[in-house]
Amino acid sequence: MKFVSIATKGIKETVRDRKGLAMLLVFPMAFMLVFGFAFGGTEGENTPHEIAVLNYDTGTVLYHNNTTEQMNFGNNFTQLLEELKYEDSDVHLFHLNNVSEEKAEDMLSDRDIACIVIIPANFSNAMRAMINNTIRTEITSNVGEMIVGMNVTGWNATTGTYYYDIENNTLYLDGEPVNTITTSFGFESYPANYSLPVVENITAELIIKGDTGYIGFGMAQGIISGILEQYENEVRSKAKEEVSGYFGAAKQIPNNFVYSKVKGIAGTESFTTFDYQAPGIIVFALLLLVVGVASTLAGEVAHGTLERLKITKMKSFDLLLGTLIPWALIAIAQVFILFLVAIAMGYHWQGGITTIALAIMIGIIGGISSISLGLLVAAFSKSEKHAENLGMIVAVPMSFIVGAFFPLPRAVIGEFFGRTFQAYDVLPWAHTVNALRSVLTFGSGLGDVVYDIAMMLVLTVILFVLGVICFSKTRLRAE
Amino acid sequence: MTDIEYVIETQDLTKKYNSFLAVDDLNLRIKKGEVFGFLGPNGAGKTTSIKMMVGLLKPTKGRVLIEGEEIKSVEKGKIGVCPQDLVIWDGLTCEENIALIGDMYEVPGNVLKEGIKQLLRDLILSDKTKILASQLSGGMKRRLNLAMALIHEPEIVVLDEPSAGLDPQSRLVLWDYIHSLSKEKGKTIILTTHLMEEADRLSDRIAIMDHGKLLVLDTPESLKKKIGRGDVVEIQLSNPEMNDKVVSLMRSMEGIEEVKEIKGKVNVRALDAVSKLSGMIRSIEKMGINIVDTSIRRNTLEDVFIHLTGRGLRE
Repeated sequence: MKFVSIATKGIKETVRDRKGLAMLLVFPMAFMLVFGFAFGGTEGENTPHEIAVLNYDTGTVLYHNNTTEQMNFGNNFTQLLEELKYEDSDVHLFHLNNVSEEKAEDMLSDRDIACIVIIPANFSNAMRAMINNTIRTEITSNVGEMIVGMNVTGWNATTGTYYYDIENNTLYLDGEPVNTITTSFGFESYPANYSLPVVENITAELIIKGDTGYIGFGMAQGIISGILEQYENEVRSKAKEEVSGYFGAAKQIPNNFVYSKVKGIAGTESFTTFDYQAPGIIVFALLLLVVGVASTLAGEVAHGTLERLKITKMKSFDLLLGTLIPWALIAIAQVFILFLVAIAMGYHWQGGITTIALAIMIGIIGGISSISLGLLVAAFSKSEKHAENLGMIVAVPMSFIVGAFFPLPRAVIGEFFGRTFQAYDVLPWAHTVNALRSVLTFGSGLGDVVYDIAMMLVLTVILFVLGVICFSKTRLRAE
Repeated sequence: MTDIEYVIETQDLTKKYNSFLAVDDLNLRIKKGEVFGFLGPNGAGKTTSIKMMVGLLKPTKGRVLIEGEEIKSVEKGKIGVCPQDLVIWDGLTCEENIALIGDMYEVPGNVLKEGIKQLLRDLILSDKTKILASQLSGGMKRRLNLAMALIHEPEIVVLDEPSAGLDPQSRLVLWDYIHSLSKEKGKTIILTTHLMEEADRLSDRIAIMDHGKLLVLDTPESLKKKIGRGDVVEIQLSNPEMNDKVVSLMRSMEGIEEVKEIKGKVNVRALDAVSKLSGMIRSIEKMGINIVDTSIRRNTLEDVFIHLTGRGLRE
């Protein structure tokens, strides 16, 4: 495995070249520190985010305690958005524009609003399914899944382990009463058949639509995602709390399972421009790998070591894979270290450990894009110095072009997979910036960044193949 | 059909860079087990020829045969190349540098380990095994450069100016080792050098090139006998501007083989130069030209080279 030997060589050289390593890690860290100091403070007076909510929710019927209730969770959520305020402030978080979909799209294009929140028709039904699932899980964890769906009224007490006496409303375990169950639980039990609620397979997708390159969208989207998550948790915990009352101390049956409460959103008072920029600085660091890769490979050419390797049994594949591995490791280290520095500088990281793992994966792909570009630069460089200069000329402007530091102007060139495709989207790092920002700043999961990851992969493969062809043609063949 | 006694054969080997002809119809046959010296001034085409012989450069015309086989189909481990420049990885230790090249030639682990030990011992680098190449002296780096060319036990070893810039001690270590490679291990060695002494001492046969062309090929002794016979008288005048006049005067004298101005001195080669020396001095002084210094020495390989190329190797 010759590529392993070449990779090991690369790792040793990188670790032993302290100046070079410092340049790779400290330079972006300095950027992170400077940007952290410059943009890490609060953005002055909080103002409401302009948004539009398109509520298509048709509502649902909830059954409980022998009564029915018409419920529209979409309205409930919209009202919540309208009433929410910044933490420790009287300023509302959002100003909701009551406009048509067409008008909302126009406003979004003009950046008059930060985003459009689209509540789907089945939002309430999905919430009901979620509540039913919560109730079912809660009850079965108390009395056991075995009674679920069982015709308990015809159950023979002498043959079963569990027995439910419908007349006395009592559940027996091995002949002993374990609890008294109220005459009705679960929303599907009306008028009263004593079965657990059936969980329907309904999922609803609330869409937060906007321009990912626009800082206003970034902020609004992050907050709304957080609110939605909190809203779901609140509803779920309320249902759980009420149901568990049947099995513990006597508790009054609630009249309403779902309600909302308005309170300040933690962290919103300090959402800063730096939160938007920190992932971009990580991408800037990844782009600097272009300089490192290009100068390393150009150095191998200039010092004759590549020629020395060429006369051995080494194949192009060994050299390129062996070169790629240490630089990919550097990319991981960069993402991790810069992330920690960003946190230290007050970056408001959303999400858990999984977002770091996801960010590292995105970082590796972004790193390989940079390595590929480094191969291209090395293919056309005459010396190490030339490669460094050329690499810088390419990498630094590129970081601005892909929106690493500041939002980009709109440059739409068409639609792709139902998404607006901007001119700079042909560069894989534009997707790296978007994906890292979504994951780290807005706490998005894999599903939210699949498009960006897929685009990065496709564009990286194209760039890598191009780099390999050019480098092999100019540097690896007999002259 | 190629004679199997010859391990390397070049046929009409030519390399052209645009209008510049770097190597011009080179035809060579190198015997198995011999040390083949390649001499020529800078830009003569030695390194270009060697690069074509090891497959690093594609010839514009002609071909290279290794034991009768086209170079492109020859197994890569057959040849070991010690480049003219120090081609080592400064960020790796001596051991790591050799091991990396060994891995690239697919030398098995245990053989590689032993080979590294042996090479470092033979080239007096054992105590530098774990030292970074960047911390070695020039001579040590040069020896490490050689070790990297030998780790895979190649049958043919190409040494491109292996002792350039070495101190006398390091040079002697290297010469002894090259000698043992050829005479004890039976390797075929192609040696390019600027040092006449090195070529004279190590080479079984010498090829002299200039302007991409092979000028002559023979053993060092035969070259000295056939070309540039006699001894050399070096005359230094008080006024070097008179050198041209003295050169013309010497050429008109009887029994003079060759007269040239080299590095500000007039070099006169003649058979039985000792008996002719007093006559030379008298003729010069008659013209009213003062002589600062004269010396007489035996003909060397350098004189042969100068005779053929018309200039000194280090010019």
